[in-house]
Amino acid sequence: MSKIKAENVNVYYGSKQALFDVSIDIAEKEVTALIGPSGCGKSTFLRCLNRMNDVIEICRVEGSIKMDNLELNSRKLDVVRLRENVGMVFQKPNPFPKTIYENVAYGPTIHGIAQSKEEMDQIVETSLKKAALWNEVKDRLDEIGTGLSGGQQQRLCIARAISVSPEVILMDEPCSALDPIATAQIEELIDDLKKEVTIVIVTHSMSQAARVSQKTGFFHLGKLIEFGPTDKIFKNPDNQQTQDYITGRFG
Amino acid sequence: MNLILVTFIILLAFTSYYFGRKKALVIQSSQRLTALPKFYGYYLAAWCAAPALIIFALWSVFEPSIVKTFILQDYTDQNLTKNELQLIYTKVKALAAGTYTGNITNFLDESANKYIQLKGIANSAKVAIILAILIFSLSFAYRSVQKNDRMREPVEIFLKWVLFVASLGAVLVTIGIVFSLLFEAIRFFQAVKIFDFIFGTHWYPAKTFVRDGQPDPELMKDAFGAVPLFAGTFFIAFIAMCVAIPIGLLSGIYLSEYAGRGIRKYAKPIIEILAGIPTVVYGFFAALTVGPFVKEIGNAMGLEVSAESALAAGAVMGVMIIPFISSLSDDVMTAVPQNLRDGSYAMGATKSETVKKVIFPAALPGIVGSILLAVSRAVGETMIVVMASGLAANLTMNPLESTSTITAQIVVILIGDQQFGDPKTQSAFALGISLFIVTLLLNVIALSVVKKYREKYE
Amino acid sequence: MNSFKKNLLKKRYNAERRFQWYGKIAIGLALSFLAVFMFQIFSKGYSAFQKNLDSNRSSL
Repeated sequence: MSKIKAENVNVYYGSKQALFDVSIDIAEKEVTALIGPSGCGKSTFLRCLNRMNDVIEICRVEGSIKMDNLELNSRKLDVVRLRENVGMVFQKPNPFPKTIYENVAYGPTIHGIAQSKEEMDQIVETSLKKAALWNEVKDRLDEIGTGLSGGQQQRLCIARAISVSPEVILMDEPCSALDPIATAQIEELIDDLKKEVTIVIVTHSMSQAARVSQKTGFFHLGKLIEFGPTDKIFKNPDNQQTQDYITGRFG
Repeated sequence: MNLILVTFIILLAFTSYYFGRKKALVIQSSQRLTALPKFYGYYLAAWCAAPALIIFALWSVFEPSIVKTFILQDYTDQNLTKNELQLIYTKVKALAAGTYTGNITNFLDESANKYIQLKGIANSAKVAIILAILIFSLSFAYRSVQKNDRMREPVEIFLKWVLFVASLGAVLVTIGIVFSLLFEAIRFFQAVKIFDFIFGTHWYPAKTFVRDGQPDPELMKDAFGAVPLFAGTFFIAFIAMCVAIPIGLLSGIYLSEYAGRGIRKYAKPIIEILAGIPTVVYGFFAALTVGPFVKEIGNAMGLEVSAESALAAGAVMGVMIIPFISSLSDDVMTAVPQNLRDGSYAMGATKSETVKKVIFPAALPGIVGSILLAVSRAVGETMIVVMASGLAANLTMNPLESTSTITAQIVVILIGDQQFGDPKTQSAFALGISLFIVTLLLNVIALSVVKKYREKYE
Repeated sequence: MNSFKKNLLKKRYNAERRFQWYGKIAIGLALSFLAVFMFQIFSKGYSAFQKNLDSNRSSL
């Protein structure tokens, strides 16, 4: 079933066009990987899905992006509610300089999800458990989140993102700042999470895309070159450019 | 004479720079240079100027006291006190310069002639010695240039020493200021108990003025209580911060988070103009415009308001301090990494929630630092208080009455007639050093807080 | 979307607008202090120059 349907998305930074007529169908409760060389627009597209491009003054988005028939690229859209439903994990772990507990409780607090302290404790616990971090931090929830290791920080950010039970989680190269062990942990986590949420992940590593995703889209120079089941893209792509990139001939 | 000598040394140094550089170019034709040609010039110039100038400086420092000893030798058998000897020496010098108007005794005349003679010898000796040193050091330096010794290293060592001496000078001046404050303050505390100063509640130094003889010690006990001044200082600073913190902080937040690039570019420097206006101007603004305005409003509400009120001074001081807080807090909030903002927005937080819950706490140490700097500025502010809040040291917590501060009292004490040995005069130094300690503490705290904040993000 | 969350969202947007106004008012106050100040100084200074000229003229 389709969760997000993007049609003819064009993005401009000032006068420079960053995305050209991107159309893509993202299926529900699956992992969709976006790959491509740096500067190909994959992150730009990802940021359209929770309107993070609003933060950049000179950025302009055209076209239609629908999530469950709700138009995302519309002035009337309430971005606060959208972002409650579409979480995001960034390239560099960015926990707030607050305690681990406060980091996870941040979203539920501002969105008024928990009615009581007990409920909040429960949300924090389940989120940290889902992010496979609970056992490591359960005795030090009141320590500062920035004091954790890089991999732990990234899992804390994932816990923060899932604390408001979003329907979609966007991940922008979530493992690029992590070591291989931490990367493996995050990939395992992604596999667990896809039972409940739709995940869109931008990644530099083709092996990662092959390991975690069901669908893969290949971006090049702002265009979506090819999109299809991961198996097909990696074993038998239709497009020559995709073939070249997968086999490491460029990129 | 001295001026000609110094000019000569400096001109010679410049000449030897060009000479050295030229010599290097000559050497270049036959052998490899050890450094860039200009270092040959620097080397020669440094050897020319430095020894001569050092000797010149030492000579100028020691010459007068040596001449003085020679002159006063003739008076040792007369059993004179130190002050009388000093007076005689002053007379001799004046006579020698032809500006003495008193009674000329034989003895004085003789001394004056001796003084002129000694000065003449000293001067010729100085010129001779310096010329000798110039010749000696220049020939020494020229020989090593000729031998094509290493040139860059000695020049760099020399520059290192120049920089060291310069920084030493700055440090020594600071230490000198602190010690002169300290010594006068200690003398004050010999006359007035330190306990009476810190805990006394009456400040009225004029009371101790006695025409002849020593003032009554009982009177002293009650005249130098600094509590009203400390209270007034912090009270006015408190009023100032009540104005400056909300306005400064909110402007800083608006500038860093809401204002577009265009507004920020103009609004920030315009607000900073407020900090650049001379405090005297603020002072008469407070005294002539705000003071009467406050009084009128107070009277209209049926309150007793004096024309000089702590409120007027504090409010105007607060306006002056706004840019300290707004600019600094804007800077520290802009320095909060963008990815923290992104993280908060991506959670669905509004801008104000992001500011209140993420950016402000992250920037808090820097903001506290900026506020502490602003407080130390408010505590040290003088002119506004002198002009707008009066000079009587009332111990009051009523913002509509006039009070005085430490700085304003120092002004009161040191303008007009005073005697140096007087405890009234010395009390200014005691006040000065306590003010210095307060602002030093505030600055140390502010800097360490700011440092901690930097460590967190770098 | 229950009514509780709807109310909360409304409150949050109101708080947002209010906060933005605080900032604008603070900037406005700072700038108007400067303006009042400049106006006072220059208007008083100007009249002082005028008076000075008049007294010079009468003394001539």
